Amino acid sequence: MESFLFYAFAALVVISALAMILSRNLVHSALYMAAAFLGMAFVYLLLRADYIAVVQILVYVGAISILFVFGIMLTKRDRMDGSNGFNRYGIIAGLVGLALFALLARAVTVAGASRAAPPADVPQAPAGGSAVAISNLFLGQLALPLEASALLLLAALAGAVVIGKGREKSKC
Amino acid sequence: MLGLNHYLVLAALLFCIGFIGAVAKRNAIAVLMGVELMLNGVNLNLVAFDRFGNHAEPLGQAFAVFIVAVAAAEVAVALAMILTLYRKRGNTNVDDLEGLKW
Repeated sequence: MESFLFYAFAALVVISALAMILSRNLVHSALYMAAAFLGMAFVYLLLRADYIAVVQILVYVGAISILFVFGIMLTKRDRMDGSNGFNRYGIIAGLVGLALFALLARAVTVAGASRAAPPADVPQAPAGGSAVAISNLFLGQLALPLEASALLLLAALAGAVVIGKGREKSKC
Repeated sequence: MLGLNHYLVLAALLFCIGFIGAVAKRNAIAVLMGVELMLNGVNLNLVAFDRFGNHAEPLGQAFAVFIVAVAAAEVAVALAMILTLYRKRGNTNVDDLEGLKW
């Protein structure tokens, strides 16, 4: 059952990702990207990472996809056919990507990591799923990196405003 | 039986599709979508190793959360740059961007 679900969701992710790359229409690409992110959330659920799955849906499917659609809306307003072609390195990039995948897949299979069986479902899994353990980590051992990432998000917020509005206009 | 390999190969596939999108597309927004796909592939690696590894704390999942935060910041800044570019250039074609300064 679990393998069937994995293959179904992996097929959803891979087909959406390929459609995103191959679609000639930028808006369709954005929608396929959202579908791929949604499929990834289900794969995370199969890995018993429920918190990451929810974050994936909230941040990627919810926020980042909408941000991309807004970006498309603010830059290109005429007909969208053929708005998303390949550049002059298309063929070379495809070959390099395939070669990279062949290399990575070979490395993974040769390493034979599949012999490592997954640990049995943790018996001491706390009620509330993985969120409890992750939040304990964030408020304890990883408190400083968490603050640093908050600072990064603040800097990105200010930077996006300054870059988007232009330096002169954003002075107050 | 599902092993670590299945997830790693899926992550590698996602990373490579994202790579092709990031390198081969003409529109800057599509390039950014490719980068997002690559980051997702890396995240899947981290979560899979966290699941199949043997440790008490979900450090891999915590790292994945950090990557999600960095990806969100990256998209916000990059889209602001693309909007500025569009205002100055009238299109978002990466083939036209050959100078470092204009």
